[in-house]
Amino acid sequence: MSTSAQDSLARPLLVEGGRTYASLTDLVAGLVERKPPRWWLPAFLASGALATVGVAMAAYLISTGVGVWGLNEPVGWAFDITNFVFWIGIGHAGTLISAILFLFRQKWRTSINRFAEAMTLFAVVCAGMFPLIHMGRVWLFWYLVPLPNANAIYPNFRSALMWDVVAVSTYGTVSLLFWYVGLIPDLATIRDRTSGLRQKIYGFFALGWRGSARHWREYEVAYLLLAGLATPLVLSVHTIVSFDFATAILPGWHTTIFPPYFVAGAVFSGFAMVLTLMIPARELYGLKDVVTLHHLENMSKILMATGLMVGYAYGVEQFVTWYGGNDFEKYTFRNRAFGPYAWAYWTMVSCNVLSPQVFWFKWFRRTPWAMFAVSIFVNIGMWFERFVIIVTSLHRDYLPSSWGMFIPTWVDVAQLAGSFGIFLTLFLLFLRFVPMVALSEVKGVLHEQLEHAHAEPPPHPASRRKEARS
Amino acid sequence: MSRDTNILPILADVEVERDRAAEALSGRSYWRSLEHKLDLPEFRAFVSEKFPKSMQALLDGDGGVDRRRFLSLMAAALGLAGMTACRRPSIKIMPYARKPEGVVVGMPTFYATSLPRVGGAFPVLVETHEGRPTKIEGNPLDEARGGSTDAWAQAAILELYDPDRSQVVRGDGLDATWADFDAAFDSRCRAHRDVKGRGLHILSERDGSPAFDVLRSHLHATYPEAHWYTYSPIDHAQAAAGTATAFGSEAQPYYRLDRAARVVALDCDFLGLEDDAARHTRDFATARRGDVEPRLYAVESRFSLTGGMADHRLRLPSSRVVEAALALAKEVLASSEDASAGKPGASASSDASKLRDALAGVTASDAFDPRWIRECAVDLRSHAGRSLVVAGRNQPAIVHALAASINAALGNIGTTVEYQSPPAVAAAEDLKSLVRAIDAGQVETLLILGGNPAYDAPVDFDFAGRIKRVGVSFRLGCWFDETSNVATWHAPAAHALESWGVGRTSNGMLAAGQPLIEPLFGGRELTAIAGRAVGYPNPEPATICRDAFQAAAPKGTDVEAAWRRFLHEGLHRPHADAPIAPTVKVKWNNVAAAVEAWRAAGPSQPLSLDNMELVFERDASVDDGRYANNGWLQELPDPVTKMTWDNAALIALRTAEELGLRNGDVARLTLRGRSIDAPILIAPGHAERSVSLSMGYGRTVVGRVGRGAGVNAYALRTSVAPNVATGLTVAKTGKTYSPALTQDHFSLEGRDLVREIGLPASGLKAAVGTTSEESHKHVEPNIHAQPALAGAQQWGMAIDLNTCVGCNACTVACQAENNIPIVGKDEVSRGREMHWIRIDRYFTGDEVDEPGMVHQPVACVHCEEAPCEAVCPANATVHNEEGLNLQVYNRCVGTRYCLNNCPYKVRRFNWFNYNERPLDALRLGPLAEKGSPETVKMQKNPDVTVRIRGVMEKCTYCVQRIEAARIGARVASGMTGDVHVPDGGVVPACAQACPAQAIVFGDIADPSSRVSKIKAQDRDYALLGELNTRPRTTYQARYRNPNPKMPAVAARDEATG
Repeated sequence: MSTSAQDSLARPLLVEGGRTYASLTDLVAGLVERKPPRWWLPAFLASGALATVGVAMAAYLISTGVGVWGLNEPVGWAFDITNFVFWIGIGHAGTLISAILFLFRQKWRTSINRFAEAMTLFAVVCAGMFPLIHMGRVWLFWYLVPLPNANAIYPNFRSALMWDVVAVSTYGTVSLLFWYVGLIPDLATIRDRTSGLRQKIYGFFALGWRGSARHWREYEVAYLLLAGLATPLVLSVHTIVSFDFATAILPGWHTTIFPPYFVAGAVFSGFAMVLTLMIPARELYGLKDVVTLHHLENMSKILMATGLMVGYAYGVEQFVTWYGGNDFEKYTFRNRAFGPYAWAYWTMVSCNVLSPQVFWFKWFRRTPWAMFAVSIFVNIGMWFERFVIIVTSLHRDYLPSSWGMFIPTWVDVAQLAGSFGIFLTLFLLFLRFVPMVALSEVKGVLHEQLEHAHAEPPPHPASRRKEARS
Repeated sequence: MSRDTNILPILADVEVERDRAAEALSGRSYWRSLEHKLDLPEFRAFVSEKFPKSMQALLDGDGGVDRRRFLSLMAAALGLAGMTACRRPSIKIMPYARKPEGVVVGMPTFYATSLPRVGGAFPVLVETHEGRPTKIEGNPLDEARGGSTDAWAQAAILELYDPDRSQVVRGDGLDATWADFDAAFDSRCRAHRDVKGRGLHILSERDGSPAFDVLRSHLHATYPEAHWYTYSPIDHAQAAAGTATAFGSEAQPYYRLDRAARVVALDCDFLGLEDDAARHTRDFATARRGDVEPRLYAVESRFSLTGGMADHRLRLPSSRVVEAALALAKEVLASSEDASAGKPGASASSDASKLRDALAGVTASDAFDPRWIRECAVDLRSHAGRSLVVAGRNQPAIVHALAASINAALGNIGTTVEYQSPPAVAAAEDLKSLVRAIDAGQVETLLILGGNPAYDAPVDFDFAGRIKRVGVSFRLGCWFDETSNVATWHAPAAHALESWGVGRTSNGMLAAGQPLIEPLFGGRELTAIAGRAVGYPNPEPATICRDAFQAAAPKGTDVEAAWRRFLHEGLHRPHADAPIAPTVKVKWNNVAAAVEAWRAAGPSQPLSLDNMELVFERDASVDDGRYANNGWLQELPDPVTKMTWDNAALIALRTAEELGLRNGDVARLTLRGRSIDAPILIAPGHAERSVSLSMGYGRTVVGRVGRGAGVNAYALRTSVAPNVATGLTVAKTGKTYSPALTQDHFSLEGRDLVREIGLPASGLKAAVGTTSEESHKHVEPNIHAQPALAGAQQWGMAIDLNTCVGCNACTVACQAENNIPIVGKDEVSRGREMHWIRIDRYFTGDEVDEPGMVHQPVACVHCEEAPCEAVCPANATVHNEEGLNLQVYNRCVGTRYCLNNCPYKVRRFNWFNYNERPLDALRLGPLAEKGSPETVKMQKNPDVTVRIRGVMEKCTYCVQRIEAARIGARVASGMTGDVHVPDGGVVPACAQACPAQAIVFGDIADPSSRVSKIKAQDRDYALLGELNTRPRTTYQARYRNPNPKMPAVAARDEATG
């Protein structure tokens, strides 16, 4: 075997730039310890303002009535549930990267998992907001909680919305725990490097972590267990979200393809959002050594694969409708492609199916700005996918007499923008105060890398992971 | 403690006492006088005299209040005051101290009364709850309408409570009192009476009330120089003139559609906008259910409800309908000549030769296919004596004369139509005479009773300007309107439901009117003011009405007993033994002369884009404008266009294309130098070169509801051409306007939703009772657990599309019964109307110009496998064991999942707090004023919850009526324990109102119930039954009875093989 062949077969480095443990720690922890970059405060203020708009719109909605949105009698859901499914879908990449890739020992995930998990968490916050505020009487949301009460009235467990409540709240809880448990060693690292009030705060959240072997053992077990718990959630949450539609009898909703279709779509949109956030962040924070082009390329590949799955689902939907011969469904799908919302349908198809095809070419997979552009397209496309599913199915269903149109109001648009504000605000706070790369895990990867390079690795607690595996 | 005791001695004393108490409690002692300090008995006596009880505690030194305690109590009180926010405010109700006789609290009482109408009084029953009228039903003793109502009758109750009704007297533009009005009014009337009434002129509406007749007779007898005029914008002048030509004297046609096997409607929307539509609909439905096998031909310009029910429809501009009438008369009379004299009606034809000759001279019209009229005439001839030709109010006199002649020639008079001579009443003059009198300066005092002539009089009269020119004008009206605005005095009138009255129904019955409630806004009855004006000896409304009743009742009746019975039953047949239909003879020569005169006038100028016709239509919602401030009616979709809150210029598609107009464009309509801007609505099936515009919109002085609704057609309506005017031009303005339609999509998309079938070979009546052996209603297998439908009675509904004409009465009845709010034009245009039962209207057929029309009422169909129930996360919509799909308002959190999953889209969501916030400030939320006017609350049905925002609602099958019936059955059962509600014991509001009796409700578990028998018919089908929702409401397919020889049908038959 020639040397060149060996080179091409060699795994690309997961951490570049000749980083050592110390320089890595300095790099990541330093972002939290030092003053934020100059752009941070303006960005924070801008997104904070947008978040305020979101909160104000919700307050307006709740105080005045759901009528401030553009909903009407055939179209009972539109932006609200579109946004909900969109944000829930975004969250999926985080869990997938954290849990499934962890279980499959995809080590490249270590550079991006913290980031992705945080994104998951904040996406769930945004997602959870919509089913709450979309209710006509949000102050009675507790009717959906199975509380024993004097009237012995329970929620309706046949309703997919009820399953949603359970699925999303479970998902949110597990995601939070998973993220937090992973954070503990890094919080301790920062605690050890700072002083004063900051040390106290980080110390509090580090839960007295000292890095002893026993700590590491418990940590590993907890992390593994949570990964095991989170893995089925990746599949189940979006499956259940898809049941909101699949269990209904509406043409365009009532279809068995929805669970896998939705999960694929969720992973697709989630990876797109990770790219959208990661590409600027690695530039701005100088994290190119940790989040390498290799990472981005991997994510591009996943994006293309899931994009193809989504495209396949679109095709199968149309085929089965034609093959099934149900006139109502046939009309719905014809109406999607050629009706008054055809522009939304073709936006969806071009963004989701066509735009990721550029990743067949290596140049696109290794050019951050191109990837960023595609990720934006996918974000837009996936939002429109949910819009198309919800609105085009509702606005023309069984009886032509009740057909109507949905036209969003300014409140609809501002509420959507506001949810991005909330998401970005939380994310900027995360970038500022929490180590955005999982230091301890990357060090584990770095350790292997350094050993393979026959460098003299400094002793590091994370080394036990390699022993366990080798 | 340094306050000046001289100024407030008592306060000072109180302070003294407080000091004492304070001393007792807090130790520190303040005193003001020695008496105080020493606590002398005189001092104690003084204090106890001043403050007998409350201060005793203070004097005694216990239970007193010092500063700290006061503050703590105040703080606690303030804190607790905040707690009241957690509860609803407590409102005291006033129970009856002494219960009025016959009132059971919580049980409604029904009173018989009637609503005055231009076309004859409408007898009704009014439901009252503890003296508060809430709902109007038809009078079941009324044979002509059988207890049904129309939309206007249903909505009259809202008018009663309209908070925009006039509440104060206005004189010379300022607020005044009734005393001011009385002084001015009485002095004027007295002055006129001294000169035999000269200078006194009275204008009232044309409502045919015997009470006004009595007053008018009195006026003519006592003050011969006074004048009384009547005016209503919608009248029957042309019909009167036409029958006068045909019979020598005026006659009112009274149709018996239940007997008519072949009907030709000449621009006559007898099921919709003509007077007495409720009775016609009922009779028409009877014919369609019975053995008559009716076939309806309609010749019309605007697609009307009648045209929708027609088996053949000829699209013809209104101004050309006369040509169709002439051709039809020609064919019918010509063929009657050929036919042997043995057939009924043929006897008349021998005298008709002159008319036949005159008709022979009429050149054939090119406006329509002559074969259409020929086949129509053949069909009429073959049903001589069982056919009917009706002419519309908008048609000129000659069409009415020809219709009467055809009916006579066919021998229909006395069977399918009766020509009644109008009741002998004291003559009243018309508006033109009043205009002349004003111009001659004879009108010193003008009393305008009701109506709104300043708005709806012909525009060439400039009546508003003329009112200003009379000496003093007094106006009595329920609303401060355009007429009040120009009158010297305006005084609030009592509403018909607050007034005594006697009316005459279209079928010649006397109808009682009695006040249901004291005038809510201090109004006075029209008869009271009119009685004073004419110097009636005892101008009490009740007396006037009783006198009128006495005058109309046959001699020798026990008037007191008959009057009491009249008030109880609401109806009285004045001439029990007299035939309604005196025999009338057609004066053929007169009709022939009229035809000759028409021919001599020369052919009318053909219609073109520069010479279009404008048809002034009565409006299905606001009538002639009188209901403009009625929110239920404004929001009621037009039965054909489905437009709410507006009128529009209806125009055919091709004409619109030629004019370059599209839906929503605003066009300038110019007619003889006058023009208005009106939005365009393309109406499928409308005649070319013709524009229909309904009257009653564009009111300027009107309440909050009617403000800004539509355009004023009266601005183009002249006394010369009040019904159909030619010479119209239509020009695009470039402006656009979006009307609020409740239904945007008018095609069935080839879906099997509304079914139409041919007549069964065995005949209609036979088909009604049959069920085919292989029942089409097999139950699909189901993997779900079935709901436990264990109730002894299972409720279901049948809606007969064969008889439903789409009149909207059910929609308003439901709104009144179930406290359904209106939402305003903006919300309707967003698709948020709240009607629980809507009437879907589809156009059928392939041609845009010649479509068919079908109507389908859709409310919640109460699926046994309800898609809404499975998806509600809160369990807010559930099934009961009698098969009702219930909506539990206080459990509903408003996820709207049920709405999305309802295939019928019958669920309605409260997007805003429609009941509590002003409709123009819905988006201001908590910043808008809250609460609904007290009178609007009074209309609400106490048996039905008023819904809050954020809650879903829908048809309940009138569950409150089911429960009332069940309670009634339980009470009636006594010890037997048989709580079975008998068939017909529950009638939902929609079914009760339906003039066609198309809606039948009952127990489907009982095979002998009416609803079960209807559902057993072959033509019964479940809407979207293939979804296996198993709806409890099913539909019965509509029969079509086309004439196989008609050109269109024959061509189609040829084409298909």
